[in-house]
Amino acid sequence: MIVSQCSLNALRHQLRWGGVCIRTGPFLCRIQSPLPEIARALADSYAHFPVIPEAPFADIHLRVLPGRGLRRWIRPQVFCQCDTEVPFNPHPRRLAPAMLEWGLNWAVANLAHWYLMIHAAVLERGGRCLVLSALAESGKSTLCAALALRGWRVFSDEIALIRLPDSQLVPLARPICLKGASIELIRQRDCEGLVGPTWPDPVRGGIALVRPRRETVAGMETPAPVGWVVFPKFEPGCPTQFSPLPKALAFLRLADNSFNYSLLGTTGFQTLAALLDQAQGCYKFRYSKLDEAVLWFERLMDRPPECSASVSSSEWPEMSEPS
Amino acid sequence: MDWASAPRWRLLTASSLKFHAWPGEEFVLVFHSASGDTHLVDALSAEVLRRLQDGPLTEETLWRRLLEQTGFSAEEFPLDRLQPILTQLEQLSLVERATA
Amino acid sequence: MSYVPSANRPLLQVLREPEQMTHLALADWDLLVRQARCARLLGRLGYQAEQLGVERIPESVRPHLEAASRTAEKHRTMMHWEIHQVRQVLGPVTQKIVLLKGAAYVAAGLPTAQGRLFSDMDILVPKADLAQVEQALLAAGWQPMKLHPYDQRYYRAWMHELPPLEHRTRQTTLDVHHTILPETGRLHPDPQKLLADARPLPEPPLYVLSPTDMLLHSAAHLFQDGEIGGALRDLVDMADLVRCFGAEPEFWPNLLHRARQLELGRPLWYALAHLEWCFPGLTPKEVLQQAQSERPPWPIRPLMHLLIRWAIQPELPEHSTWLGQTARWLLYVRSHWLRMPPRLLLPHLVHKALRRWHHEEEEK
Repeated sequence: MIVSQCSLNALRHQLRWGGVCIRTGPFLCRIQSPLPEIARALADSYAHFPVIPEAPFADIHLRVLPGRGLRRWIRPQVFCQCDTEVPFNPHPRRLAPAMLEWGLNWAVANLAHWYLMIHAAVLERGGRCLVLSALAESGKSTLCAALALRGWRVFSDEIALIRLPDSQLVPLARPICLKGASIELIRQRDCEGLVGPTWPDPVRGGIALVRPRRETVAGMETPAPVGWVVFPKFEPGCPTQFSPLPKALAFLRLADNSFNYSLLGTTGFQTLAALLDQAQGCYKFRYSKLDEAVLWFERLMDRPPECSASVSSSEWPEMSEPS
Repeated sequence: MDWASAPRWRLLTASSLKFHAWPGEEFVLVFHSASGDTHLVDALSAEVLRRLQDGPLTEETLWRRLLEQTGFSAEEFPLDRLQPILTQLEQLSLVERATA
Repeated sequence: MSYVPSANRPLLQVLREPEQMTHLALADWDLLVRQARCARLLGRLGYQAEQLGVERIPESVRPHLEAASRTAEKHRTMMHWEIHQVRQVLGPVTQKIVLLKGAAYVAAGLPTAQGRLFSDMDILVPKADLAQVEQALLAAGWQPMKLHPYDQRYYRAWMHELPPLEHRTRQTTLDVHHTILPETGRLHPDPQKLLADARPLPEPPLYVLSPTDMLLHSAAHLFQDGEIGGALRDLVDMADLVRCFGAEPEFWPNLLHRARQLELGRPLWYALAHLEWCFPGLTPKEVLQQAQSERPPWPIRPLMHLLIRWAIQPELPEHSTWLGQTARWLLYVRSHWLRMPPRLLLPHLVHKALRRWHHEEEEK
């Protein structure tokens, strides 16, 4: 059964009592909430996801709850709770669907230590994965959404899940979370109506979710090996530039961006080394024009660009000083 | 030199080191399981660590084994170039002077 | 899925008889994994599952136990490394570094260390060496955790510790004690006696407390000084200590005598009574009978009995009971009551409440 086969009323009822169990990637998530907007969020963004009624065991238990005390009614707030942990400060109630996403990401990053997890976007095309590793505010979610609209299969916009024995990347297939100016940038390119409504947020300039395609969700159980590792950085006014990065340096950057490399000890070291063994190449990448960046990644898919061989140096010069 | 009292160097504690490098790259990754730290070192420093995996060595013996392994001559790699490498590895808590 | 009544508590059952893990249904595991994680005992279940054979655990559950085991293994490695660092730095400035609690369990290779999580490292040093110990640590990269001046005073003048130290680069926490209970408190176990009986480890100057003292320290920490939130985990530690040392010929005969020597008779009574409740049959009957002389009078005894039992159960928020919350709050006040005399306690609690309110206002 998938979420779209449940009526909104049934979702609301089940969310309030006992919770709705949804499979996202390898995780069974039990979501509970008395808030009707969470039912709508599930219906909108998780329509294609399998729902497992009466699941006896769930990997993640997340509750999205109204603010405590007076903040339930006055300038109403919402917060999320994963078992006993409340990972975030309360936010305005209109951001409840975003709180659901943040809560699920938090739960995965804090619990799923049977994977090596890196703060990165992962997309698959032609059987291999592109890993876009960068910290927050680097533009990786925007790039991820732009590539998704071009048909790339999104594994995740936030967490690269790397399987421990064989370093394969495992999909989560959940919605992409966009903020601020990137929302309109992506909406302009969206012919399929995948971008949801914008929720006002003065701090981030607005939040919107990009729902995953049916094919992305259907491929939720199919892992893939890594192809390329890229460290993108959006810089206003900057021409599109790239430079190859030695794997040893890429290793340290990925370890730095990892949620649990340190916790996994020797296994983490070996898994990350094996991932880079499998990678065709690693690059630093700077851009300001989204369409050019998308084109660069699509060419990357065909073959890894050497410094001057596959692209004209006047169009895409190699970076002149290390960044 | 009085061989009996020549100071020896050894790896820190009974922990294991794991190495990884890619062909054509100048740096080697070293994972130190006791501290959980991952270090990026040059190939020569990695070679020093590998020699010490066999047990504590005096600087002179270590130097000779490095020359054998790397193929450098004594002029290309004099003994006094070893001291700064060992000092740096000591600061990274990878090696220590053996007291006994 | 229907609401699970909080009375269904597989965690205690499984701690008493680990073999029960192989008979649990998936719905029981759903609750057990979360309760154990909440009580910081999931790593222990992971270790026990490995002993029983992981193929006997349902497949959906195994990754959670594996994750907890990996986390515990990382904590163990970090603790070993911290012990090594502390020994390097303090070896030259003090004759005795007595490792306490988790650090001791790891260094001595005790079964208690298996699957356990460690938050910070605790050591006991002679009071006379305290100044140079603090100096050596500060010179080697430890720094006092950023504390409000009120808290600095709380630790130094009233409690039994330097303020906690944090290492600049490793960000690990070190608590340096010169006695095991606050000097302002009601009980005064003589640290000289603890130091005198401490057992040396192979790496000087590291020591651990003697077996009876280890149990008494754990009892004092939980029932005199402690945060009841970790109570179940502390009882599990004590049960492990008893299983490990109970076979030593001097352990049981000396225990009560030593408790009286250290003024820790009352905490020992609580420890034995609750060990017997949680793990029946672990303590010899004659020891339980002899310890009765240390029991608190009525009505404290039945009241504490109820409070501890209500507070000790790990409660997930959706199963939270007002009884459990009230019991935990009362025990929290009690632990402060025992740490400081009344003239200090009320102002202290008011000060903490005001600071918390002020902090919440600032966050908004």
